[in-house]
Amino acid sequence: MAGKTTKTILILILLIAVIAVSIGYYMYNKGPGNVKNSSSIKINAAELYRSFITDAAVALKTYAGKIVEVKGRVAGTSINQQKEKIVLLSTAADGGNINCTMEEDPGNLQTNDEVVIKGICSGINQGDGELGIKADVYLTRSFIIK
Amino acid sequence: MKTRLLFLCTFLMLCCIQLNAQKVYTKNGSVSFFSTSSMENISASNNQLMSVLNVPSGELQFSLLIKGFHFKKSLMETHFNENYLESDKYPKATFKGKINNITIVNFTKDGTYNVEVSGDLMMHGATNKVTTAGTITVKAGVITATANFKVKLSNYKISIPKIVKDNIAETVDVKISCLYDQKM
Repeated sequence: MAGKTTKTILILILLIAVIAVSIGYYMYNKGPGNVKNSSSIKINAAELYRSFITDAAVALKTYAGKIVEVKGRVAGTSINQQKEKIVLLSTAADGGNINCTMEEDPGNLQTNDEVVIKGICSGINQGDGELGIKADVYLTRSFIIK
Repeated sequence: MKTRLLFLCTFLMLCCIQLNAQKVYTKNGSVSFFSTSSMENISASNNQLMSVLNVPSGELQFSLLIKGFHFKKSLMETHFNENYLESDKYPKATFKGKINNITIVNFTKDGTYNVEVSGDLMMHGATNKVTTAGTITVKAGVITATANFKVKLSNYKISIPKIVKDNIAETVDVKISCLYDQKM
C-alpha cells in the first residue's frame, strides 16, 4: 500500500517537473508576438509625432515598445538594405515622418494615399538641427491595416 | 575674355552645387550584433539607424533607438530592453567620430576604399573611444559605409547575471552598414 502511494507521488512529481520544463522551454523559445492581431493604441501620424516633439519622455512611456495603429498619408516609400519596404507617413513637421519598416509588402502605394499602419513604436530618433534634418518616429514589424 | 569669364562663373557655380551636396545621410541604416557563447548564439538587428557623413571632412555620426532591436525570441528582447540596456532609461545609442583617412576615398570614382574610423560610442549612459576598420563603397555616386567592431559589455556598464553568464558573450560583434541615399 505504502509502496503504491510512493509510486503515485513520484509519478506526480515527475509529471509536474515535465510540465514545468516544457512551459519554461516554450517561454524561452517563444517567438515575437503577433502584431497584426494584437490590441493597439490608435492615433494619427501628426498627433503621434507631436507627442514626441512636445514631451519625448512622456511619449516614450506612452508609445515606445507598444503596438500602435497610425492613420496618415504616405509621404514616400523606399527599400532598406535588407530589402524591407519603408513607408513614410507625413506629419505637420516638414521632413519629419513616421518611418515604418514593413513586415509585409504594402503593395503599390502612392504619395498622399491615406493608410492605417500597425506596428511596434521604437520612439523618436535624433535629427540634425544644423543640417535641418528632422527626426523621425519609428515603427517596426509594420502592417497595412487599411 | 568673355569666354574665360563664362568658364570661371560656370566652374564657381558647379563648386557651389557640389558644396551643397557635401553631406549625405540615411534614416534607415542597419546595425546588428552577435553574441557567441558555448551555450547559444544570440543575434539582433535594427534597421533604423540615422547617420550623417560629411564627405570632405569625414565627420561621421550615428544615432539609433535601442527599442528598434528585434530578436528571434521575445523573452530575449524583453531581457535586453529591461535588464541589460535599460532602454526606458537610455533610449538611444550614439556615435560621433571621424574617418581618419578620408582623403584616400575618391568619391567621384566607383570602388571600395578601406578606411579607419574613430570616435566616441555612447550607450547605456557610458561613453568609450572606439577605433575600427571600415569600408566606403562608391557606386554610381551612391555611398555605402560598413564597419565591424567589438563591444565589451562591461565597458558600457552592462552587467550580466551569473545565471546566464554562459549564455551571453562578454564581448559582442557589431556590424554597421549605411547606404547614404539622401543628400544635403
